[in-house]
Amino acid sequence: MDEETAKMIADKGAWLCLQPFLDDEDAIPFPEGTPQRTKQLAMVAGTENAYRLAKKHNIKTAFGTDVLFDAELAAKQGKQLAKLQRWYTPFEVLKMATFNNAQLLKFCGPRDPYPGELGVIKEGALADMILVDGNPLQNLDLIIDPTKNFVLIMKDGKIYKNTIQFK
Amino acid sequence: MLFLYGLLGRAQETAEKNTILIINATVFDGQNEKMQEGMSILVEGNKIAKIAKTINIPQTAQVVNAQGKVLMPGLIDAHAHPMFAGISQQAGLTSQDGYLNLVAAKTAEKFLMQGFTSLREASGNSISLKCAIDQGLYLGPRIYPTGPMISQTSGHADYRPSTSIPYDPNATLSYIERSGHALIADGVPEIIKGVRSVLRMGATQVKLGAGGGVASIYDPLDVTQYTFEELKAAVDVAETWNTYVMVHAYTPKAIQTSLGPG
Repeated sequence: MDEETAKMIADKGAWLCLQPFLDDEDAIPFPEGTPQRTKQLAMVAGTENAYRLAKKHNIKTAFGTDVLFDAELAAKQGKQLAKLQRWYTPFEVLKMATFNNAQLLKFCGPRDPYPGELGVIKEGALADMILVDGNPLQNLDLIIDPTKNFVLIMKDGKIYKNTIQFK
Repeated sequence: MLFLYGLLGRAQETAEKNTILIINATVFDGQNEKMQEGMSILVEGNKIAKIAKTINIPQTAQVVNAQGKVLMPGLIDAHAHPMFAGISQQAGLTSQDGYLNLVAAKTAEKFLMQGFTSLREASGNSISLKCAIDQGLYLGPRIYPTGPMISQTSGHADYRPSTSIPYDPNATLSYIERSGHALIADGVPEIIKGVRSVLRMGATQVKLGAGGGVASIYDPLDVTQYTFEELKAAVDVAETWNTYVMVHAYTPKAIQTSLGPG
């Protein structure tokens, strides 16, 4: 992405769904020397730039993991999300992965299989919530270990995990 | 028999008891940086019915004491591939679709148990998985499925064997196309039919490969995929269905071409 393109996206009001692709231990393991590995290195070089331009031009930005072909990484979605701290505050990161992302999902209008509000805790919204043992706005790294730190997970009003005692 | 009655009785009770009261929670609502402390949240059915400092405990309610903990909205992944995230590329591209779906059900459960309660599937047809999760047969997030990625010949979703070119008009579709994970379309008429096909399958939005990809085989990273006319046809058809098109694009040229018809 470049300056001119970022401005065009902003002017059009289009959504930019970015993934924190870095050449780190979580990159898809393409063998060195393969065309896919070469393409991967070129692509991750653009990640830093893409986030910087998205912020500068106030582009509507969504978060995605885009995990492919890697069961270990699929079990580390929270770690991927926490990487956004390179560019954003914990509040900005969590707002992006809840409220903002929900706005993008809801773009499908009448094709929405789950009518109702998502990504927000307010009266009338769909009951998708997690309870964090600690304050993720102060310590975003809590989301890296959901097994330990997410003590309750609820989707559609149903509890799927609860490690705290009922009163 | 008595035992059986007992079980039925309990099942019925649980069905009626869809009321959960969370007390003493610090709430991050997803939108505002300022959190609310000491809140009670009443969940009735599948919705948040009430949020207040004090809520009388309904008789049937399960009560969760969230003292010292932060309640926040479930996380959302706006670009996920539940069908191909939890499997190697080799197995993903050579296994039967039944196996892919079974592996994907495990992946979906992991996603949910990591606190991701919704995802937008950005290709790799998860429509069956979504239905099974919504029916309560498997655990997983809400899924906004895209189904097959629409790709041009040599595009981001062209995973056909290299020997499938030169194109034989009498050849059957490749397995990845037959399983609905990719849809190869070239030219406006094929795009129109392709977009209508994925919408008929149950996609909530449409995805096109519009530029070079990393994992894909025949497309260098710098290339743009689809012409203005082809992209415009896709957007036009999506709009007839009151939904939208998302594209895969990394480079300025690919992004700019995609913004044209939008």
